[in-house]
Amino acid sequence: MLDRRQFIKQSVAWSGCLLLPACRPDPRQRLYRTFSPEEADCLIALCEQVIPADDTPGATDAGVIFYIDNAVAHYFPKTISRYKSGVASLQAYCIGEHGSPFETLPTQVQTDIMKRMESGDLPASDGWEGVSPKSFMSMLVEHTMQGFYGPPRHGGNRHYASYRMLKLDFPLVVGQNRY
Amino acid sequence: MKKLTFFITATLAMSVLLSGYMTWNYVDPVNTCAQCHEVSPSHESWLQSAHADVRCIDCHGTAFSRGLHSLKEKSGMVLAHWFDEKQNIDIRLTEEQMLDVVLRCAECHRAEHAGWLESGHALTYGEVFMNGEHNREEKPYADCLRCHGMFYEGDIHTLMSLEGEPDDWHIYDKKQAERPAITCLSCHEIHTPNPVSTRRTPTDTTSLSDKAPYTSLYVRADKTHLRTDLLTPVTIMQGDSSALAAIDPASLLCLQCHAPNSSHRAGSSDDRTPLGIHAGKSCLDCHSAHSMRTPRMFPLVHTH
Repeated sequence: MLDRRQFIKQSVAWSGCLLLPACRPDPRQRLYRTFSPEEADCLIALCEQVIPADDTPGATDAGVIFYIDNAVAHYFPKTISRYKSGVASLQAYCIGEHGSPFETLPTQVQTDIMKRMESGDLPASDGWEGVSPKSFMSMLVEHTMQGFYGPPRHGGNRHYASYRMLKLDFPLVVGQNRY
Repeated sequence: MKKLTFFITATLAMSVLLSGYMTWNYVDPVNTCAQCHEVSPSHESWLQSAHADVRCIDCHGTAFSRGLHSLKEKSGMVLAHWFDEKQNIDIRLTEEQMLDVVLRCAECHRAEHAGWLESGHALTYGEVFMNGEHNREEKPYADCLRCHGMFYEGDIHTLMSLEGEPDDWHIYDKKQAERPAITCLSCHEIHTPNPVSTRRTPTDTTSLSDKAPYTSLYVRADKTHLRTDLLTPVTIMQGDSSALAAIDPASLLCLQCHAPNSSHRAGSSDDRTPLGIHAGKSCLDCHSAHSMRTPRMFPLVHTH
């Protein structure tokens, strides 16, 4: 038989279980499988520099970050550490040199930094473990292209943004082929 | 005494489980299912949709809404999340779940459901794929499912036997043959971002064109919906020149399945582009969106 003390203890314990769902992480964290919201902000800015929006959607509108997040989680897990190291090193460089993280820098400064990464001119002395600025940039451009131009079932190319930009005949309008 | 202790503990455990289950179903989904990466994109879009006042469980059901079947189904989803290598960007409905959703759509959209039931769009897999007259003209193949069976989880060879003569071709599963092949979700996305519909008042200055369309095409190849205002307009050819074709979202949606041949010739294949004095008319100028009553009154619209 439970005494009063045990009953109260068990009731409190079980009631506490009901509150477990309230221990939820940052709502933005739910959107990503691999990256933290801060890492995602940096990657979104990088991808937008690769395919900027003009009169047609860019990488952000096309949801390229969701493609990269999903792809590295499930198909390219070896690149997770390269992404995280690359983003952390880039942010350290931006804060050290410009006083703020990459995504808050003016567009022209972002472009200049990425050009230096692409040409291998960005100093890779601090950080950049397991990935050089040049190879990080190369990986990023490749995945951004995949996310923007690939089929939406992989997470990117939201609303077929790139297909519409390219004026592709999609979905293909073809009726029955009687023969 | 031991029996009494067991009885009290069991009662306590049951009441905790029951209250936990009830709590899980009725609290904000942000605290429950939408914590998962797979669910959160759908949850975000639902929040912005006209159905944001409809609870998740009203369409998706609960772990016990279909007894042990749904318990097995929902448990399977949780297990797949942790142990299965197959991953999805977000949760996709199976065809069976989609048919459940259709029944729930009908609870509110009764007139539309009634119209659909009496229309040609309510035809079953059996009526589509076991039509000997049609099969003698064209052998069923994978692309048929693009319009007739968008949610079918397989291909034409898992659906039906194509051995022997056309009259012998049959769908393997009799239950599948009786399922509707074109349903609400073929043309509508429940989570489309849109304000909740309200009755318009004389002082209401918002334009209907400011809203996203109520229709979306389900693209089977990508298992996703594409809003019809984002569909690419198609040039329909009449002779050597282009025919005046409607480019409103509804007409573009109809054209996806009532489509011309690869040369986009007006009137070819399944094309129904209005011609002559009716050129440029939207499909909805004559047709009710869900019922087939109107076209019987105007049989010559597409040819004159």
